[in-house]
Amino acid sequence: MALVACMLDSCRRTSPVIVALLFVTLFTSVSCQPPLEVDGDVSVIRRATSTDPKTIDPHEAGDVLSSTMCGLAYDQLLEYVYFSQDAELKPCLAAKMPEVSPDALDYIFTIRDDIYFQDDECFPGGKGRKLVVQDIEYSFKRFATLVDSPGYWVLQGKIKDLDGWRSRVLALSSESDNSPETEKRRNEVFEQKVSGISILDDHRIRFTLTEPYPQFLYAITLSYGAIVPREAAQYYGDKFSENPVGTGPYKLREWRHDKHLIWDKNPTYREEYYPIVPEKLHLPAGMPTRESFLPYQGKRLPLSDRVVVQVLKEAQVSWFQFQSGHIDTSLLDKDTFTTAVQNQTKLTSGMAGKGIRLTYYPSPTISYLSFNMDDPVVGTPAGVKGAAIRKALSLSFDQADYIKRYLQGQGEPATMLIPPGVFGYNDSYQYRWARYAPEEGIRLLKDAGFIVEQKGGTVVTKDPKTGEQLQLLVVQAGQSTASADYARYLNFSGARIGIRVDSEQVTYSEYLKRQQNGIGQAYDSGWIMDYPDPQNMMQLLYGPNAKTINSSSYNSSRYNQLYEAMSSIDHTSPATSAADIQRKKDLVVEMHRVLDDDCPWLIQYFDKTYVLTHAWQNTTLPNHFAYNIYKYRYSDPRLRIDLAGDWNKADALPGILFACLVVTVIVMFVARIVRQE
Amino acid sequence: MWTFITRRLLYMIPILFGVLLLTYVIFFTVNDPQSVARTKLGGVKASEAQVTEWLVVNGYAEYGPSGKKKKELAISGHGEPDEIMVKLTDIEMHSDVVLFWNYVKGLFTFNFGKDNEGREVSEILKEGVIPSLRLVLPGFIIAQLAAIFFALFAALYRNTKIDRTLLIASVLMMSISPVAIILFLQKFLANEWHYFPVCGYDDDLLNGIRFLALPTLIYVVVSLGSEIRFNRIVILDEIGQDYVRTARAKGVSQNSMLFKHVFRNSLIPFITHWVVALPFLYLGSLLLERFFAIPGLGDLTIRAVGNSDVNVIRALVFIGTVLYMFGTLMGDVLYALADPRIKLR
Repeated sequence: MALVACMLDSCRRTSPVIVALLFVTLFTSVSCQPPLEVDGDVSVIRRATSTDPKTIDPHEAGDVLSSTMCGLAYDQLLEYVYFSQDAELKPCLAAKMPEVSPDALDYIFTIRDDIYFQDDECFPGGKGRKLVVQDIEYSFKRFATLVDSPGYWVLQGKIKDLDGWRSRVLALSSESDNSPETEKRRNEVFEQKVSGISILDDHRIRFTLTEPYPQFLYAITLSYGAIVPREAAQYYGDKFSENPVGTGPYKLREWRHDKHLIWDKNPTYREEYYPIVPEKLHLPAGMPTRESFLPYQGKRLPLSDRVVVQVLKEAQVSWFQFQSGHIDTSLLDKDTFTTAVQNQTKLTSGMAGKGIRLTYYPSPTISYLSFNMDDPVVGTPAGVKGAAIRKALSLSFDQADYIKRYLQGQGEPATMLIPPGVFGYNDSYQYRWARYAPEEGIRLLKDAGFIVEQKGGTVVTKDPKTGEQLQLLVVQAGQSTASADYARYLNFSGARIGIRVDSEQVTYSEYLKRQQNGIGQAYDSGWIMDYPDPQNMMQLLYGPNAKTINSSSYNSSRYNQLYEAMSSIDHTSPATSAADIQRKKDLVVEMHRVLDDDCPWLIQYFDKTYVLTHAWQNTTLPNHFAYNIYKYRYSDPRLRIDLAGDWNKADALPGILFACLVVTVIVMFVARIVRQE
Repeated sequence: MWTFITRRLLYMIPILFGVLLLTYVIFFTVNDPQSVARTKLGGVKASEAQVTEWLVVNGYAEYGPSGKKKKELAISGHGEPDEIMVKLTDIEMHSDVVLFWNYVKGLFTFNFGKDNEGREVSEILKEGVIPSLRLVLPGFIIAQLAAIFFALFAALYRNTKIDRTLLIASVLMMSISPVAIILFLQKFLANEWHYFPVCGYDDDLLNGIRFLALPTLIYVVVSLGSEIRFNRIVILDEIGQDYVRTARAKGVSQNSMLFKHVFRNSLIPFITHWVVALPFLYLGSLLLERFFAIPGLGDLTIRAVGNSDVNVIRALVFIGTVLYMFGTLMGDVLYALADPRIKLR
C-alpha cells in the first residue's frame, strides 16, 4: 500500500506529461537496436540460410547447403575451373589431371606434396599433418561404408570390387552384437584391399573401374569425393559431422545449431591465388563486367578472413537483415522480387541508391510433370488415347504465363531437358510439346476419339465409353504455397482442353512410396543436376531406372539404346575426338526426338536465380556444381561501415507516441483507484 | 492427499503407454520403415540394396534365409557383387510388437537415441530448451500479469466506455492472426524504427535481453487478447457473487474488495489455466522462434514430422505427456492449497 500511496502522491504532484516524457527518455535511451557489427579490418562474409545444415560430413552431404558448408572445410582431388565456361575440371589435391588408360578403366592420380590438414586436436600435438595417399584410399572406403549416406549411387557398380567389399563391411555392421570380436572382425574387413582402389607408391593411387564411366571425374568432384583424415573420423566418431577437419580454406570455429556457423580462415591453407581473368571472358546477361573481377586476380586465397552463416528461417527476416547491412547477399523470392526489381532486369531506385547490385543467371534445375507411363488412362496401356492426353495437356500449359504469374519471371521456359549453359543444350531444338497451343491439344484429343464439347468458353472432354469427363490426378510432395499455385495452374490449364486436373498433396515419404509403387497418374517433379553431363538429366527417363529416378517408368528401347551410347562418350577427355563430342550432342537431340513421339513429361521451366549483393562484397561467378567458391569471395569491411553505418539509427517519434499511450493507461488506472479510495 | 497423489501417479502409466502406442500407430501408418529409409537416403536416388542395408542396420528388419546366405558369402570374402547384393526380398521385417518395443525402450531411462542427422536427441533438447524458455517464460509471466492488470482495469471501469473499448480491443487482438502481429511489429519496431534488433540470440543473459525484448513483447501482445477476456470474465463473475454484495453492505472499500476478496477467489480458474499451459512452455513458440532466429525447440516438432524423424517425435511425445500429467497433478494440489474447501482424496 505504501507503493500505491507513493504513486498517488507523485501523480498528484507531477503532471502526466512529465511522467510521459520521463518514460520516453528511458525508452529511447535503452533502445535495443545494436549498431552494425564492426570487425575493424577483418573481412567477414555474412550470409544467411533458411535451414540449419544437416551435416558437415562430406560423405553424407546430399543437399546443396550441407555440400556448400563442406566445401569450406574440405577439398576433392579435382575442382571446377573458376573462370571456365564449360564446367572444366582442374587438379585440386591432385598434382595434375589423372592419367587415364586407353580402355578408360584405370585412373591414376598423383597427389600434391604440399597439402596439410587443418590443425585440430585429433592430431598429435594438435598440428595438422601432411596429406598422404592413404587418405585418399581411406576416404573412398569410408564413404562406401556409410549406411546413412545418400550418395553411394555415384559409385555403385562402378569401382572394381568396391560393392563386394562394401557388402562385407555392412554385413558385419548389421550384427546385433557390438562385441569386441565383431568390432575387430569389422576393422579387419575394412582394412582389406579393394582391388579397384590401389596405392601405387607414396604419391600415386589408381582407381580401376568395372566399365567405362565418363562421369567418374565429375562424380568424385561432388562432396562425396572429399578427402578426410582417418584420425578425425575416428577421434570424433559420431560427432565427426559437426567437427570438420579437412584441407580446405576455412576452419569451423563454432556451430550453434539453428543459430549460426562461424568459419575462420585456415592458417595452414596451401598457397593458392585468385586466377587470372581470361581476356575473352564470356559472361551471360545479368552478370557484371569482366573488369569487376580484375582487382582480385593474383591475390592469395581465401580472400576473406571469416565466414559467418546465420540460420534465418523466415524469408522476411533474411530480407530485413539484408536491408540493414547485417548480411551481404540476398536471394530474391516472390515477395521481395517486386520490391527490388523492375522490368525483370533493373533494380528499383531504393535498392540502387544503397549501392546494391543485381545479378541473375539460370540454374540447372528443371521442373516437370512426369506422367505415369504404366497408368491405364494416361500411360502406354492407353495407347494413342493416353499419348493424346499427355500431349494435349503439355500443349495447354503456358510456360511463359506461369513463370510470369507465379514465379515473377524467375524462370526460363524449358525448350528441352538440358538447361542452357550445360553441355548438350541446343538452342535450335524445341521439344515438340513444350509450347502453348491448346487448340492443337483439343484437335489431338478429338483425333484420338475423345468427345470434346465446346460451349461458350467452356470445354469438356469426355471418354466415349463412359461418357464421363476425363480426369487426371497429380501427386505432389509437401504442402507449400508454391505447390498449391502449381496445382491451381494445372487445373486451369486442363480446363482449357476440357480435362479436369486435380492434385493431391502428400508427405515426401508418401510421394516416394507412390512413385515406387506406380500409384498415381502424374507426379509433380523436379531435378537439380549433380554434374554438368547430359547423362545426369537424361538418366531420368532411362528404362532400367524406372520406379526410382525415372518416375514416369518410361521405357523405350530406342531411348535406352541412345542413352547408353550417349553416356559412354566422355566429352571432357582430351582423348575424345571432336567428332565424338559432336556425336554426343547429336545423340542428346536424337533422344529428344524419341521423347517427341512419346511425351512422357510435361516440361516446364528451368530456375533462374536472382541475387542482390551489397557494394562491399565482390561478385562471384555462379557455378552450381562447385561448392568451394567461398574462397573467391571478398567483403570490404571499411566500405561496409561507410555505406551501412547509418542504416540502423533509431527513429524517436513513434516511440514517444507509444510511450505516451502506455503512460496514459497507467495514469487512468491509478486515477481510478485514487477516486475510489 | 498422499493417497491421491500415488493413485494419480499410477494412472500415468497406462495413459503414457496409450499415448505412445497411439503415436506409434499414427507414425508408422503414415510412414512405413521403407519410406523412412528412402527419405533418409536421398529419395529417388536410393537403391534397393541401400534401403535394405539401412533397414537391417537400423533395427527395422533382419536377414531372412536368403539374406543370411548372402551375408555369410559376403563375410567369407567370396561371391560376385551380384550374388551378395541384398534385396528387399532377402529381409524379414520385424513384427509390430518388436518395432513397438524398439520404439519405447530407452524412453524411461531418458535415452532418446539419435535424430535423422545423427545428433543425440537429448542434446538437441538440452540445447534448445533454454532459448525457448528464455523467450516464453518471461512472456508468459508478463502476459499473465498484464492480463490481470487489464482485467482489474476493466473491473474498475466496468460497464463504461473504457470497459467496452477494452473488450473490443481484446476481441480484435484475438481475431488478428499472430503472424500478422509479428510481421507488423517486427517490420516497424525493428526494421523501420530500429528500436530492437530484427532477430538474434545471445547465450549471455544480460546481452541477450535486447534480442528477446521484441519477441517477448509480441508474445505478450499475441496472448493478451484472449487472456484479458478470460480474466475479465472470471473477475466479473466473482464480483457478482453474494459474498461481494455482503462485503459491500458491510462497508468494505471498493479497492479492498477488489484486490483482497475478488482477486483471491479468482485464483482457482487462473491456476487451472496456468498449469495447463505451463508444461508446453518448454516447446517454445514456433512462430516467434522462426521469425526472430531463436535457436529453441519451437519448430522441432514440425521438422521432425516433416523429416519422418521417429526418435525426435517419440521423445517429444514422451516428455510432453509426462509434463502435462505432472502439470495437472500439480494443479490439483494447488487447488487444495488455494482453497481450503477442496479436499484431495
